[in-house]
Amino acid sequence: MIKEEAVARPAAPHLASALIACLLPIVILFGGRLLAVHLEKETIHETAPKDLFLKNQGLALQRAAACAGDILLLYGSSELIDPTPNRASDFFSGAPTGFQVCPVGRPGTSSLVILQKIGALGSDLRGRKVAISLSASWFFHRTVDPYAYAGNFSLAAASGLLFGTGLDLSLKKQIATRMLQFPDTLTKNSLVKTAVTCLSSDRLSDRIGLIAIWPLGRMQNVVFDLQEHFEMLVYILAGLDSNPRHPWHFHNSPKAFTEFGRPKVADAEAEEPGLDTDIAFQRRIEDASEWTDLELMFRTLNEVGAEPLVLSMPIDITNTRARGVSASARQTYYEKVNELTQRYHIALVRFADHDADPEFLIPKREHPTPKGWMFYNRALDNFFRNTQ
Amino acid sequence: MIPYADFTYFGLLFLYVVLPTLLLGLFGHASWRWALLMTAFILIVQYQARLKIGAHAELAEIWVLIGFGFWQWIAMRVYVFMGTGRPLFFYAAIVASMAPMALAKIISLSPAEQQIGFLGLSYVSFRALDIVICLRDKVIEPPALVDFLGFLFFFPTISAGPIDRYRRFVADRKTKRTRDEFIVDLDAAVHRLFRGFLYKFILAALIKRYWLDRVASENTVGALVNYMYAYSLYLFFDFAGYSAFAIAFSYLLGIHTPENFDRPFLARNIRDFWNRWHITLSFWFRDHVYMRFLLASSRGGWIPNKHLAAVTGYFLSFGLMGLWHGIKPQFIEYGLYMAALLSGFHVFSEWSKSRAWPINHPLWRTGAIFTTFHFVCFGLLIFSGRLNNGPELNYTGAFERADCEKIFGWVLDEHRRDSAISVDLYDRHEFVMTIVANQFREDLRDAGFGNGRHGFRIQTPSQFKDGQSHELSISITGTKVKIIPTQRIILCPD
Repeated sequence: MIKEEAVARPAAPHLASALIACLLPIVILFGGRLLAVHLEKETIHETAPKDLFLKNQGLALQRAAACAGDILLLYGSSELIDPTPNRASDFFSGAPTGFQVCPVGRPGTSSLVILQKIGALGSDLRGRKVAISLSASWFFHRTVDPYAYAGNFSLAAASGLLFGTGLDLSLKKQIATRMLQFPDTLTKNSLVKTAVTCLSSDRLSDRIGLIAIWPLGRMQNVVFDLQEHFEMLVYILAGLDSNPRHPWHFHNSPKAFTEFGRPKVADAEAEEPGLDTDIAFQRRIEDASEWTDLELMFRTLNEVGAEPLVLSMPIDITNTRARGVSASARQTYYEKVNELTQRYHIALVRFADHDADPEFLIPKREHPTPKGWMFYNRALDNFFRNTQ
Repeated sequence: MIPYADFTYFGLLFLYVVLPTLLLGLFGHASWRWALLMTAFILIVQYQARLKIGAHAELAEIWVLIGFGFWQWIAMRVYVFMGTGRPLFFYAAIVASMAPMALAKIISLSPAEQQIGFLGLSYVSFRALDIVICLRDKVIEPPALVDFLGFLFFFPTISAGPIDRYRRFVADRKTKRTRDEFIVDLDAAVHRLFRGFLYKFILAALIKRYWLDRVASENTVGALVNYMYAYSLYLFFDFAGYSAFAIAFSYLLGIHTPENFDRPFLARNIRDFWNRWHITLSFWFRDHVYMRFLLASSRGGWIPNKHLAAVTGYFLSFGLMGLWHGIKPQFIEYGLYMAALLSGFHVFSEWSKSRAWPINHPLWRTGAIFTTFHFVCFGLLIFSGRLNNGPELNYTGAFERADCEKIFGWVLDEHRRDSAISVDLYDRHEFVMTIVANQFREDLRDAGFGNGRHGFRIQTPSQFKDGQSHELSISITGTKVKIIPTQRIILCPD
């Protein structure tokens, strides 16, 4: 005879299972993150000199490089990935003078892109030396090329800056106002879009909106951080021999716009008819929105407490925008850079004397020649080792 | 903001709905007022998109939503005031309730791309109709404004159902939950939440990525059959996953929203299928259209033959259901196809009543499930629009720049990466010219975009140099596919 036994069914049978189902992945994810961070630190001297997509678009490797005492972060644009002999990342890869250079940048990078990365790294850069390579051609256009910006836009960096604690609200507000000029980059992530919109507004409702999404933004930063560390983990465990691209960072599919060799936008920008070459050049330089971004970048560097050096490349006089421009007109650019760096107490090394020096810049590419890189390398070495 | 679609929405729900509700519920205070407050909050956040309501006029979706709510309220109150027993006023109330939905669907077809609808309009309209019909049947009292709007716009189910009934809803709303009852509801919510994640973000996402998208653009019979299975399974897991989320959050707020799916692909016949698939919608049509029609037909002696009346009822109900999904041909065809299947099954079941089929034999059951599954999948293939519209197009490209000097960009057919295609330049809706995108670009080739011969670049036509602003867009020739960004505005001096 089968005896029926009354089995008490719990009132909420799924709650305990759900709790376990939530906790288990959390433990795995954060355990994996610890391992990834450990391996990133272990391998940073191998990865730092490389041109890696993960490094340019993510933050984990930049953070690891910033935390290492013997690596100098060098932000710039296409010159960093042009495989010219004596390139800083190659020259210092064996740490001949006790440090390595970690290049961060791709074609089309501009100040607004760099400042987002610096702002997202925030306190990790406190007291750290950072070098910025400025290309004069950034200032040859009134506005930043939206496609170049979109191609270099990093969601992780933008979210890290907007929902980070490294910068004060007024600076974020000005950065957000600039970011809002590129709405295409904001469509993929509603939190970043909302944050930028709210930050750039003075309305009380937007302030409340910003406060409301703030915890979500922090959560999003954690998600991005985990995602990136796991991609790094896969990359490191695969033997560091591939260059993974991770499409989650992409806005649309802009890689075509930022690949090396892309035609310069200058070719497509209309000249103002009837203006003298020098005046037109000076007017363009004066009006360039890049100055606003450069100033914001300097403020960002100061706020995060970094110790920056700005390397200002000479003007490439073979560039269609600078061709035929007199030396005195070109001074407009150097004077403005000088004035801005002085205002923010930022060390500047400029190579104005090499304007017309074909041995410093590769014509029409605005990239240093091997000799030009040696000037750069000397400046970087002096800066990092405080020898000058 | 699309409900249950991304991190932001779930994050918002978790922080501002789930956590406070948990705290309130554990102390026995997760009341209807709280549910109303949450509904108002989520609706304000969710319906912030700007709708183009005129050539140069925009309006936030939330205002359209509020306007719609008050229209329905006034229609209902007028109906009650005039007397719910009089057929004329009943039909007038039905028309008034349906009018916004019909108007929105018609306006959405206009070439000016105007909109007056909002996400979930069809579902909310059916809830409003349910109230009107229940008033007519005298099974409910005229609702108070708060109950009325709370039922119509209850946020977990506003965008895509399930379509609850007012009688059932209001009974839940009047129930005060104890702490223990809240925990039971929470358990049910958690169960459905996990099911929703499994269905929508794992199974549906995997099916889409590794199956559906891969066959979506192929133009062979094999690919079409493959697409049919992939689409059917994708649609089920995506929609059932969504419904599970909606029910989960309803339970959390104390409303026991009915289930929408019950293993539909295990149905043994088409009638059984419609008891398992989009249940709240099919039951709504069964109760409010099909049964009413049969009753009226029987009373009025419209169709003496009861089988013919049933078949007519099927075509009426499912024809309307097709229209409810939208006024594209595939939806109407889908409704008629389902009506035909149900009619066929009706005839078959009447015919087989006197025959002794081994319906409980496992082989018979398996065969019935297999047959039903395939008839249903074909119906969903019709619903997908693939039969009408052909394979899905897959283009990559960019409308990179338009200024007073040049217009340029690039475009690539992902399925024929080494072939050049043509694009059409439009000034707003006016066709300007066709351009062949066959210019070589090293950056495209280096980035892996076929042979790199996908660029287009022209001198800006002189017709744009007139001191007026021009909204330029680029479409793939022969399609309505626009290259991103979909619009570039130029203003060139005369």
